[in-house]
Amino acid sequence: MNYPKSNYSEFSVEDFIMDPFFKEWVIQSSPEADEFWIHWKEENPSKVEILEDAKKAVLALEKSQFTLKEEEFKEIWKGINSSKTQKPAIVEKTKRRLAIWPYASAAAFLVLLLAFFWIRMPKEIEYLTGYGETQKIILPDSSIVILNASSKLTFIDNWESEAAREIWIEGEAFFEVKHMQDHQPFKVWSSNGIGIEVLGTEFNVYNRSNETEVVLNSGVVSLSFPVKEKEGKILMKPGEMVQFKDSKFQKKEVNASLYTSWKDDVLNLDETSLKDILNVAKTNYGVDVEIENEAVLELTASGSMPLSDAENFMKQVSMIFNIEITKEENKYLIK
Amino acid sequence: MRDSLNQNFFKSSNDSRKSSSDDLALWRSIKNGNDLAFSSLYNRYAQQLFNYGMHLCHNRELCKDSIQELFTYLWNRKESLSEIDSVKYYLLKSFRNLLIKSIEKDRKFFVDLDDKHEQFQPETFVEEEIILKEINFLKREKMNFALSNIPKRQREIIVLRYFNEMNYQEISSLMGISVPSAHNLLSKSLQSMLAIIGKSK
Repeated sequence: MNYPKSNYSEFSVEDFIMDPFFKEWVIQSSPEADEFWIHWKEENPSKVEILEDAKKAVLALEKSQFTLKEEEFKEIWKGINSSKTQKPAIVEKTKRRLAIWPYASAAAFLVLLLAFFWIRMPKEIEYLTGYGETQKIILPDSSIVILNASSKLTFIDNWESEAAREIWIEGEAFFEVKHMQDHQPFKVWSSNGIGIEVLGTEFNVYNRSNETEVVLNSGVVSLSFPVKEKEGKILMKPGEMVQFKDSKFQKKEVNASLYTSWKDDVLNLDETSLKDILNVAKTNYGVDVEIENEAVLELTASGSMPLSDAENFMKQVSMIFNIEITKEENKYLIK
Repeated sequence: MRDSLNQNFFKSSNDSRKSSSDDLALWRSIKNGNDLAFSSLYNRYAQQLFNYGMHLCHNRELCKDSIQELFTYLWNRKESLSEIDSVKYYLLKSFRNLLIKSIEKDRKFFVDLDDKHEQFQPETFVEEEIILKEINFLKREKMNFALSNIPKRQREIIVLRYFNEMNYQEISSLMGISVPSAHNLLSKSLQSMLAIIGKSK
C-alpha cells in the first residue's frame, strides 16, 4: 500500500477518520495494515483510546451511508433527460390559466394522436458512456456491443423493415454481431464516414479525433472509405487491423486481443509506450497530464493491468514504470 | 509488469472518493453542451448528493426529486454557467438550497429527525429500515442510531466532512458559520456521536 503514513501519534479522532490509510484498514483490514497498527498501539499506549474511538466512528459512519438503488439512479437520470425537452410546455401551462378547457381537450386529443404515431415511428436510440465507464448493450437483433468509456452509439430502431442493420459510433466499441438467417448485413459507421459491413463476426472499432481503427477478431468484414476519387473498399481477415487517418489507410497484422481486452476491464500491454498509455488515460478518463521530462514517454511495458477509475489507473502507471506521479488540483504531474 | 497488483484493493480504496481532478474540465465541457460530460457529472455526484440530502431530511422521494431538479436546471441554463472554483461545492450548495426550499414549501413531507415527539414512522423510513435490516440486522440498527440521534447541524457537518470531504472554508460558507466555529462544531459532533455509540453498546 502506497499511502504516505503520517505522524499518527499527533492525531485527533477527526484526523484519523479523514486518513485514507486508517480508514481503509477499518473497513477492510489486511495483514500488513494489521501489523502496522498493532505495532503502533504498542508504541503509543496513551493514544490507543483515540484510535479505538476513531475506529468506532468510521464503522458507525460507513453503516449510516444512504445509497440510491440502481433503478432509482437510472430513473432520476431518465427524469433529467426528459425534462430537458419538456421545458417549454411547462412554461406555457403556468402562464395562461383562463378558458383553456376547450383547447385543452382538443390539444389532448392531438397529443394522443401524435403519441400514437410517435410510438409507431422508428425511434433513434442513443447510448452514452462517461469517463471511466463501460456499458454492455444488447441490440434489437440480440447482437452485443460493449461500449468503452466516453463513447457514443446511435441507431434507429427500424431494423426489421430495413435492408441493413445500421449503427453509428463515436469513441470505441467492441461488436459481437449475430448472423441473421436472411443474411441481413450489419453496418457500422464511424464519424469520419468509414463504413464497416459484416454478416456475423467479432471486431473492435476505435474512432476518436478523426482516426479510425478496426480490429477483426473473427469472421469477415468489408470496409468502405470516403475517398474522393473512387470508393475504397477492403476485405479484412481475422487478426488484421486497418487504420484510417487523414484519408489514408494502412493494414497491419496484430494481436487482436491487445485491442479488445478493455471490454473485460483489463488493458493488455505489449511493449506499449507510456505515451500511448497516457493517451488512454486521457480519452477514457479525461485525465490531464503534465510531464517534466519528455524522455519517459518512450518507456514501454508489457503485461496486463486492471482498469477501474482514473486515480487507480495513474497509481498503476506509476508502479509499472516506477515513476513519481503527483496529483495537483485537476491534473497529474509526472517527474 | 507486476502480476501481484490486486485489483480489489484498488477498487475498494477508490470507490467512495471519486477524483475531483477533472471536475472543472467537465464543467467547461458542459458549458459547451457536451452531454457526455454532463452524464459523467451525474454519475460522479448523484450518490454523494443523495447521501447528504438523506441526512438532512430523511425523505427519499424529496432527495431524488431535488437531484433531478438540480441537474435539469444545470443543463437548461448551461450556457450561462459561470466559472467556479469547486464544482462539488457548487453542487452541494445548490442542492442544499433546493432541499431547504422544498422542505419549507411542503412541510408535511418533512420528517425532522430532531423532533422527539415524532409519533409515526413515515413510509420511506420504514423502507430504509427494511433494507438496512436485510443487510446486517444487529450492526445496522445500532449504527444508524448513532448518526440519527445527534442534532441536525452536528449530523450535517459530520456528513460534509467525512462523506463529501469538504474543507473547512467550504463547510463554513455552506453552513453559514465561521471557520473556527466549524472546527468546534465538528469536534463536538464527533463527541456526541461517540457518546451515543458508547451508550448503545
